Amino acid sequence: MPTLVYLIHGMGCGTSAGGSPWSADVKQAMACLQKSFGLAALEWMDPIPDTVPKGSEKKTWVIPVSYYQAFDQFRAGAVDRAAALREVAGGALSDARIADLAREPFLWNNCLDVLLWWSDKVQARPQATVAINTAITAGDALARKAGGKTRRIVIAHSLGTAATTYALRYLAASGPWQATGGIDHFITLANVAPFLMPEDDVYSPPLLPGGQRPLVQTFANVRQELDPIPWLLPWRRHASAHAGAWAAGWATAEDMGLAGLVESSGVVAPPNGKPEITHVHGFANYLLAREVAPMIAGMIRGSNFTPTELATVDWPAQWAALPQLACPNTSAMTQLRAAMATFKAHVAPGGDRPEGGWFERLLAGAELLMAAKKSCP
Amino acid sequence: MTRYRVALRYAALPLSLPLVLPLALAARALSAQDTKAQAECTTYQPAYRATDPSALRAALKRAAWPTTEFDKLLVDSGPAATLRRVRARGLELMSHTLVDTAGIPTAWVAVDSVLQLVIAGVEQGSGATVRSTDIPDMGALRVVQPPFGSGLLIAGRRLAFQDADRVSSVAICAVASSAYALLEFLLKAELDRTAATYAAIGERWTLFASSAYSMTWVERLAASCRLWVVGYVLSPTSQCWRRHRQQWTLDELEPPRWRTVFAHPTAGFEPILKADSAYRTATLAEWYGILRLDYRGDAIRTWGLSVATAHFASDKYAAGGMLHTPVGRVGVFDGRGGRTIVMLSGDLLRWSPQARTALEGLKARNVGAIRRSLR
Repeated sequence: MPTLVYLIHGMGCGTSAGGSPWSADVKQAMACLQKSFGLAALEWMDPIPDTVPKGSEKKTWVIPVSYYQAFDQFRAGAVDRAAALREVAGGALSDARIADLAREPFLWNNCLDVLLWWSDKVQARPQATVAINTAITAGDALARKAGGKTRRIVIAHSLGTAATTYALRYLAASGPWQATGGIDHFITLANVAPFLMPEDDVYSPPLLPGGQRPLVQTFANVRQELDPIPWLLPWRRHASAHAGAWAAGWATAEDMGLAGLVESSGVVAPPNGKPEITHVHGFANYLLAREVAPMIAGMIRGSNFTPTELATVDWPAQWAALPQLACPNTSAMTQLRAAMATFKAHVAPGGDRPEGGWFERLLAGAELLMAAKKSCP
Repeated sequence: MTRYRVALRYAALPLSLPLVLPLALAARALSAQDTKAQAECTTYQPAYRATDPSALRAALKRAAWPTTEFDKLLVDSGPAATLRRVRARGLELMSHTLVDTAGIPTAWVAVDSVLQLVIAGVEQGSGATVRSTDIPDMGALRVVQPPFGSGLLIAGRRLAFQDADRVSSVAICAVASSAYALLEFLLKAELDRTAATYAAIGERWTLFASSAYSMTWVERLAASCRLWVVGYVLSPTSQCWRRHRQQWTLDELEPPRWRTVFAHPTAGFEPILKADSAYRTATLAEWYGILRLDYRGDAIRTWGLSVATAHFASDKYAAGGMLHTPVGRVGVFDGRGGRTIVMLSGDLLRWSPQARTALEGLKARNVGAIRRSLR
């Protein structure tokens, strides 16, 4: 009777820039949570095996889901970066912005993924959708072989929040998944779905917890206080008030405790890791956050931690013992705080709630983090 | 000053202990019990205390069937009868446990009414096999743990786990969990089919990305085609012209079965077979064409036609067309003086080392294993 935890990555997780796989840090973070909260042992399923691993029936199965391959293909094939970008972005980007994107490795390896997922509805987006749903359904099929009741938790980060929101809509359209209401918890870390998708697709049933035949039973949205990414278009950020026709339904879900927002703070790395200031947007940092870890641990265990249990675990103390950012109280942080305050206060031109302009803001947000990194290397 | 504060704190400690300690211990015991009771629900293993009456213990045991029993139960009785037995056992259990506190009866009524609806749906459905369309809303039987609230939710009702009604709450959970697990078991074949379908689509995408005729970004990006024909959305690919707004059907996720070729550059060579030269090369431009892609096992068979021109090193060009076949591409062009030029063509965009490296990376890591696991 395994509990399934699907981890879905965000932007900049491709392998074209080299480095360790995106899931390395996340794996460490999950192991840290398991140990600290006394959860069932983790079975890391990467790739998903053919048969149920021996003795894994009572473990938590963690399934990292990758969909970056289509983006890597573009990067590898784009000999002339600027020319390739012009084809992708069309008239949406100025020449100066295209030059920035082509020149700066951080932007090229991160922001481009979002642009490709959004624009390439012919190949990159369906491929990503199929990769996510293949992993969810295959992990589930294997869990059924293990017997017993299965609990499913989906944790998506950054671009993964949009890719997963999109994928879950397709999953809900397949009869048995809609009938079972099969996703116990959907957690989005730095949600960008409302910027990349129409309102209806993000908020309407079956993704509305407690709504009509919901696929997703509960929903948690997490924002880090210094992460600009969930604030690209502040007037469209994920919130029940922005859910249009579904606003009342989301408000009810919040009243029932089925949906909610968690604001996190601080920057740490998993044990033996080294945190960077850009990790305000990091997957592992989100998982380990003081405000987030107990919630996720409760979901994995199957019952929320009581105040007494939380006092015993004393996660804030354990969190404080993790590798901390080297510049927590320096001018770098003050600058980032000030820059974030301005970023969040961005007002739409004309006072309306336009859908456009998110990519310019994504680049601005990424540049904000790059500037912070220069001050806090 | 600090020293006085510390002293004051230590002095107050013995005074407050008799008052605080019992309360803290009671709260701790209650919290632990609540958590344990919730865990019994969510892990589908209700426990029974030694002090519980034997009738209750027996009823709890009966109501909480382990999933290992499902196969036998279904063979013996069929799905509708098995579900009725779940309900009967639930009713029996509730007759032992129902207490009139904190909305317990209404929670049970909500669960029971969903259960009855499901049973009615299955009875009217397709007989021995249960399909998801037969079931009105089994999701309501799912035990939900609200991350931003207390207790558990079942059928839209909140269950707390206070000591007074703990057994009732666990009992309702056990019945709902048992029914839900059985229903999921009944839909196993359908769920497995969905998994197999996604795995197959994933394999077709891998095939498309690694073996199909390459696509330029102009061909690939749906939005770009709008630039070419004012007021009319011309499709470079099947996905583009099929629908502009998602219907969330699986066929929308399939790789293209039809696609157009538009302003597509490639290379060709003309076999000459003379003593001084074996072939002549040319740059080919396919201006417009249509391709049909058949996915057969591990291969794609492509058929299609396009209007094309061949451009030679001598700055001369010839107009003609390209025929795409499963074994290769042949161009036929109108040369000077009525001479027909026949050229063989490759897929230029696929020849670059970067593209080849990237295609290797595209091979979905999990798909093979998934396929095997579903067999």
